[in-house]
Amino acid sequence: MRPTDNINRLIKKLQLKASADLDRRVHNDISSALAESQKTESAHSKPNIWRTIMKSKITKLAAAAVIIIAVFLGMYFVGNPFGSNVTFAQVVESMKKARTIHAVGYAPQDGQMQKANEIWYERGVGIKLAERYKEKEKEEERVVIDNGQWRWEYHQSDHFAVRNKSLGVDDLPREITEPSRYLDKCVRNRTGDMVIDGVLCELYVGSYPNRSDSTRLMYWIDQERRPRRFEEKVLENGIWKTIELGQVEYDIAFDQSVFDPNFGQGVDTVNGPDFDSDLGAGVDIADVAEVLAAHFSLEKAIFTKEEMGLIFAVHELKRCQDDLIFAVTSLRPSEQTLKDIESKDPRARNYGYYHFGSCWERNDGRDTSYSPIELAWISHGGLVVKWIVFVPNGFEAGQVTQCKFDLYYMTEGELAKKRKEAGLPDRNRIKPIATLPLPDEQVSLENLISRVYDVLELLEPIVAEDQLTLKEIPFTDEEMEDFTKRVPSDGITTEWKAGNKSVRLWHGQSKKPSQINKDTWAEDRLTYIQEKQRQ
Amino acid sequence: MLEDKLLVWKFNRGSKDALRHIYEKYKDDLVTLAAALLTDVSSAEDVVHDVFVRFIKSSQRFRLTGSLKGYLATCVANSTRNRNKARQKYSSYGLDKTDAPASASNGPDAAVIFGEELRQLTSALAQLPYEQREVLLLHSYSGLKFRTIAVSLGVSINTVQGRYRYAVDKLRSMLNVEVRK
Repeated sequence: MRPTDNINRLIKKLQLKASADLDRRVHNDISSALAESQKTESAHSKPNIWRTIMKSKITKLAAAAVIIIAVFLGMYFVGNPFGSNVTFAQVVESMKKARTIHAVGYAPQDGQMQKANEIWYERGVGIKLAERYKEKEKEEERVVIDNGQWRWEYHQSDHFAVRNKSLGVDDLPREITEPSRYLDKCVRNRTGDMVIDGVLCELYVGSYPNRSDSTRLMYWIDQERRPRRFEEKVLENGIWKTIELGQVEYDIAFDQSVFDPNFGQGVDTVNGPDFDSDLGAGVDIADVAEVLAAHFSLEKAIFTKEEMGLIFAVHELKRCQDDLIFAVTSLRPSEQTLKDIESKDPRARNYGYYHFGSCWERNDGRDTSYSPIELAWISHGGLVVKWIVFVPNGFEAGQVTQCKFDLYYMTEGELAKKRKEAGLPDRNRIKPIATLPLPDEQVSLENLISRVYDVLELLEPIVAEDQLTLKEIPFTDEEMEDFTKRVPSDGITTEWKAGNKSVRLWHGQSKKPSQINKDTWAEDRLTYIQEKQRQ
Repeated sequence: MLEDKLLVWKFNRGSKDALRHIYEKYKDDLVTLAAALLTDVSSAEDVVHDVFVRFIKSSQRFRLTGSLKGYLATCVANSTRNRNKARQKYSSYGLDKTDAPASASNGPDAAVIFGEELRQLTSALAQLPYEQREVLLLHSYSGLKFRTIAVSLGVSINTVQGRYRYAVDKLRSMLNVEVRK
């Protein structure tokens, strides 16, 4: 071993803990500083894409490129002294009538006007903004997509896209309307009218307030009072230079896939601050492999058992109020199974499935069982995870000290096929596969259920469509009414008609977090569990 | 690395939780680094506090181009260097030791700080010239590359590597470490 290795090893042993006093000081500073910055931020308007581009170095670097002869411009700027007859408000109202809008912005770069940003908008369907700019001399691309449910933001250098809740897709994005903000200050100039896309457009010219000598804003407005073209010029050394050019099209058809969050190969999706919640370390990275590895690793499991080429594991076991038991369990292929059966597509990997029995037993004249109630499950890359609440029955109050896991499990896909071919059983029941002591500490079931929802919400965008589910969402009153018409002879229908409203809990359907509100789901699950306890 | 990028992304957008997460993740390492550089815990905590106050203020401007841990360690080293210079200035003016911004003590405090097992190491570290101690800790403890340290200190890589070699040699002789060559 080299001498430096010994020294380095020794130095790495140095470890101090920050004091509670330092924690208090820093946390106080974080609270007060960010509260202050939020106040300041709310006092400012949101920057728009056009202004962002104008602030970028692309503009500054290449502003010298486009030269418009001052005399020619002089012709443009002989305005109407009686002012504009098109207002910003009118323009926005007219733009709102369009079903789709497509805008492209250009900025000078390397002596030419080059595309700097592009916006797609389809009312009620989606918004996409794409822009290129320079950051520390490096080309950077930013893409924002909002499909009405989610809003993704991607920066090329980040290698991941951040997902947040949609900001809505009914209203026009500011990035489209904002360039026309100063139209009210413009005047009609008949010398510059132009035919754009076969439509005669009238020119309006003006400038920013207090910068009338150095800036020129030019708008070409069509007969429906919608802007078709926009230019901004600045005066530099006696020459007017175009620093921004925008062109807008209306009601054209574009492919719906433009609103799909495809940011290229190797780009992960992560959840943004809208999804902040107490999920524990590592969970806020929505890379499914990382989340699954962090939370459902066999190394950290409290119980594992291999059977039929599959490994069953218990990852969490909690004692909750009223003797309820909460468990997180999983099933996955063993190393040998993975070697025997290769599949490159994680969504096609399907090795086995499982569900729980009640582990009914008769001991000393007493019947005991642990009724399982599934909260949720996911399946990804061969790993199946289930979140379960067990309702113990037949025990004296306060006498539930352990949980028995009664497991039905079956191989599937290639593994099942191979086992059958080899004359081996492809399914089994082990009662119990595990008897695990419960921890003494009691935790809130409400909190655990809330956490399950958060984890599934986090995973929803990246786990295959049909492989992530919050378990049975009970019927609504309307759905129950419908059920009674379809199945009039069902016993539950009779109960319902007799006024027993709680029977709607026994019929339900699986949903995804995006399809149901967290509080509604949690309340329904808790009610269902309470009903089970009463039985 | 991806987690740090996400934390910084959230931090840029004003997420208090992200900032707390960053602090919680790196606070112990940063306090340790500062304490080993200054051989004084209370000053070390002041340094880390100052670093986070400045970091908080940079909320919207901060861009992560390398390792977040490396960035914060460099900030701590810079701040510690400033304190050290100020301490030397106070000493040269003949001010009372109690007025000094950072304690120059390195004996019993170091042992109390890091425990008996590392008493010899901390006392040996304290005897190294500050410049050598700084390079050694930034490289060996915080994992910064020589190139990064050189840029941060405004000196050549050769100088940084030289300081590192001297530091290791001196530590070895002070600790009487038995090594096989």
